Amino acid sequence: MERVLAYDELTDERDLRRHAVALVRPSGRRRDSSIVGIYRDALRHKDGALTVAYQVETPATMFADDALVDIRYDDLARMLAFDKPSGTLVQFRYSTTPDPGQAITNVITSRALAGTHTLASLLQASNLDYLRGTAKSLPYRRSVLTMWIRVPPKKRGNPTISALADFGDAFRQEMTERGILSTLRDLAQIYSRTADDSVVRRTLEAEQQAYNHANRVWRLFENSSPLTLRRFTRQEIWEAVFYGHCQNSNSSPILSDRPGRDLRDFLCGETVEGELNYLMHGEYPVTIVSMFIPPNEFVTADALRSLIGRRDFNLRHTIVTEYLFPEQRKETKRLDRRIKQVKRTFTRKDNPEGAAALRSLRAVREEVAGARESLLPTRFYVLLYGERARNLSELKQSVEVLDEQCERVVSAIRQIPGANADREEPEALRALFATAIAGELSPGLTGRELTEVANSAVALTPTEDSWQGATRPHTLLSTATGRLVGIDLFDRNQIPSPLIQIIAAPRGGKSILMAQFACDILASLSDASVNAIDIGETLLPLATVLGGRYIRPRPDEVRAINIWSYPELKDGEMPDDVQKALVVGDLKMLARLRDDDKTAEDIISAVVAQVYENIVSQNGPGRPLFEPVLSHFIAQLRTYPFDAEIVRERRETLVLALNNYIGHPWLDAPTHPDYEEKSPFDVFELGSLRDFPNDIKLSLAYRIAAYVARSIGRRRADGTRAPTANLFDEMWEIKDEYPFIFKVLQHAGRKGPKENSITILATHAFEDIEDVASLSKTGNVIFVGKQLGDFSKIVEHAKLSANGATAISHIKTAPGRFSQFVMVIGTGPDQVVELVQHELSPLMLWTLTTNADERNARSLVSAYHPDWSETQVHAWLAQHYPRGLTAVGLREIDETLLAVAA
Amino acid sequence: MRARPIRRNIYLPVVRFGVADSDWFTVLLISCAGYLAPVPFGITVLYVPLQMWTWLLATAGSIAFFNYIRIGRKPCWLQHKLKALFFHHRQHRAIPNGRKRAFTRSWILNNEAAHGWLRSDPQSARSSSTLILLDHNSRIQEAIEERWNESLLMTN
Repeated sequence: MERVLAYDELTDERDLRRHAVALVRPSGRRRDSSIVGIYRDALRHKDGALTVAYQVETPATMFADDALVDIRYDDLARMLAFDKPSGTLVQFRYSTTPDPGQAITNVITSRALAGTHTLASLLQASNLDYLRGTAKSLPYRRSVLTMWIRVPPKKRGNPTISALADFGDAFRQEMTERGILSTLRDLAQIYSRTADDSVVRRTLEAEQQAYNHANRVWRLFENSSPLTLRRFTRQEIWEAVFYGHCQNSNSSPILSDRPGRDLRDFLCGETVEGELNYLMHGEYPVTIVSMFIPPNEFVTADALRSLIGRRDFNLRHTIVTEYLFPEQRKETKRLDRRIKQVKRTFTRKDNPEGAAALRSLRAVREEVAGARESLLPTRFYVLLYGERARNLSELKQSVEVLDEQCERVVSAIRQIPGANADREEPEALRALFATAIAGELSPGLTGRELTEVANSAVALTPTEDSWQGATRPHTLLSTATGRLVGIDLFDRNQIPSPLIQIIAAPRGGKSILMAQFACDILASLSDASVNAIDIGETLLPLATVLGGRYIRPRPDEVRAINIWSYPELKDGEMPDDVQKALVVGDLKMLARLRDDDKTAEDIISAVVAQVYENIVSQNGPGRPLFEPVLSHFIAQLRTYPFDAEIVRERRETLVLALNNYIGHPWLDAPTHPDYEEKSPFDVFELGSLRDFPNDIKLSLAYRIAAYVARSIGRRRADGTRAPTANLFDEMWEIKDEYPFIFKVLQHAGRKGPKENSITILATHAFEDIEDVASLSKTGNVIFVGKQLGDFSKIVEHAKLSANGATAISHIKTAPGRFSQFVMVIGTGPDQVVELVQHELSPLMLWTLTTNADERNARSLVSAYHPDWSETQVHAWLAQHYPRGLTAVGLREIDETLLAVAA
Repeated sequence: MRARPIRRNIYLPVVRFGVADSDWFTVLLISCAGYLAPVPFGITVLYVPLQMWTWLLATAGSIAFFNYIRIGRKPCWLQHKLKALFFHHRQHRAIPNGRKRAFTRSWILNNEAAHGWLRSDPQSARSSSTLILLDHNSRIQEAIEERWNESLLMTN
């Protein structure tokens, strides 16, 4: 046992006392803040200045027309240029944080609580999990743009005089309450209580006046801003400032309602220290990269896209642009002085630098003449935060990443022609960081100012971002700029059109994207149903995995689809005009009528109406279903009392044409009971129709399309319309072989929005669907994949800008990894154009792949393990070949692995 | 995109002997001081009055100094250096029971008179605090359930 001497105990006690003293008197100086409180919704600074913050809506205009962006920046420049109190400071903070997958959470939370497809949900979950894993290795980004406006006090008070007045008041009050002796004894304490701490103190009335004065300036900004602004509430600005000052905090203190409460103790709750090229703010290393040399000669409004659109800038950072508004009269005088000075210094010696400087000065002077423009000292810097570091090892790692990110930022700024940026040196960082924190904006000059007219300096403001995505998404795509966005094709606010076109060259990923939509719709929406027209068995594996119906008409397996039947028939309800039109269309096709044969069409229409009138009344609740069929029509046609001779003659030719189909098992029969069963996922394979005679093939294809179109507006038991998606793959083949399906689609396209239904068309080129005016006019959602030939028609139809067209030509597709699409939603000034990327989880990849080698691999595994389900086969392949075969340069799987598995 | 002119050289300092025009007045002052300071002593060095030497040295020294702090340095380099020299690199957090006085002074002068906040019934104040606390806690709970707090994004 170790002996403890009294001396040791004394030493321990001394150490303890020393530590206790150090706790209340730590080394260094106390942290201070320029923010002393919050008055209404504004930050109150020590000097009496007031600051408000706005959340700025960032439009997704990276692929929009250049003129649109220029107009926005011109408007923004006008906003900055108008006359304001000198010393007003406008700060834009474009904050980016790594996104571990907020959109994934959105997808999960927006899933319907009941009525979703369980197997589709599982398949979707595998994809979400994959995206979550991807987000961990290379995080996505989320950005928020805020604008902070600091308005200086109207009248600058003298803090020393007010402190002396305070001292006098306190002295008098103390003397009245406690007597002269006691007051004299506590003189030092009274002094320290009232000493000048450089805080301007005002009466409540004066504070109100100052707020009103500042509010007028803020309202001017609000009214003239081209960007949508939303002023932070009192609570929001407090949280924003508090979290900016206290990095380690997870919750903010309750904000007192009492005006005048000094909040500095709360804001300065974390230590800021460091002597190196980074500071420790709480447990986070932080550094600053400043722009020291502005762009050379010219700058364009898209100058910052290299900084805000880069996928690898996913570390937490804030791009800060500050515009200081000096007294313009003084600034102009300074400019004049400078012109004289340069003239005196250089021009006499015919110095080229002097001549160039003089030219620039004269140009600027000309622009500010007549107060048309304002000269704005502008600061541009990037504040970068590292990962949280709780120990030395974490700190080393965090600083390493921070250094790397700094280098990237520097190189990105240097990509702007002529611009140069550098990391702030340790001493400068210590001096500048205090004013870089949210809310601490200061009008004091730092030496980092670039003075230019507003119209030029405004280009250093980041104002755009990727499309925000849907609030209740069912499908996730990532943008090229690294944002994970959710898509909700049923969101009528964002996607008003029910017709979605996916146009991509072969192997462009269009069928897979369509299948992804199908799976996600089933997984997310309650009572959703998907009907698909497939050619080439693309959707067969998905239908098998999801337990859907894969309907492949074969001559030897009769399963008739009766065009005359419709869901309300069993209740004895008369068909609507659309149903009648579908029947007429089918009969016209069977009778081989041309579109301009109006007499025949009128005859058929009249007889169809009569047949329905006769037969519908025989149906009703509790009665067996009695469907009208082709024979009923022909019988009615023969006996229909037409008056005119010419009509009767035409009738005879029609009877003759249709007589051939009487008793045909596919065309003149009630709907097969298989179709009556409810299925959330039906896939009709048109490829197998090639085995039928041509007229039967066409009629069957028409009936299938009509069956799909009829499912639009399917109602639930409570009368609400269930979401329905109709998918049509390989539209180019449909156009060639079954052009009449377009007529059905026209109906679907126009009816969809009211009936909670969408139609997705996938094809190779816009030319495949351009003939059908209705399709191209109502479809304002287009996913354009990789294009092989001329795609000018898509560009023209979607009214894409030159940037949008360029984006199409830069689309990349990496088999097994991703497919890119240019997503176009809407038209006009609020058109959304975004380069999106579709990524698949290994399981989804093996389920949806249409690659020949991978399909062979699927078949091979199935053959080796006939007892395995499709899902097991895909899971085995996903485990061994997570990126498929083509992506890793393989053409077939290693069969020894199969032998091992066996 | 429309090109917007950037004239980055308009405020570059006019430099002579490496000294910016704005610093020449300081050089002049230092030179004068260098000249006048030894005058009362009447000392000569190498048959030349000392003030001539000191004037020369002060002028050359100040020019060299201004060259040193400007050439190859970032703007405000000297100010930042001096600030770093005189102020501790550690800004410690506010300590509730620290030796330094807390920031407790109100920045509104007639706060009590205007609101009577301090004179309110302590019991009712306590109950309202509890309500605020409950309200705050439920908001925190909601925020946790939502998992995402928009304002956290804006704190950089």
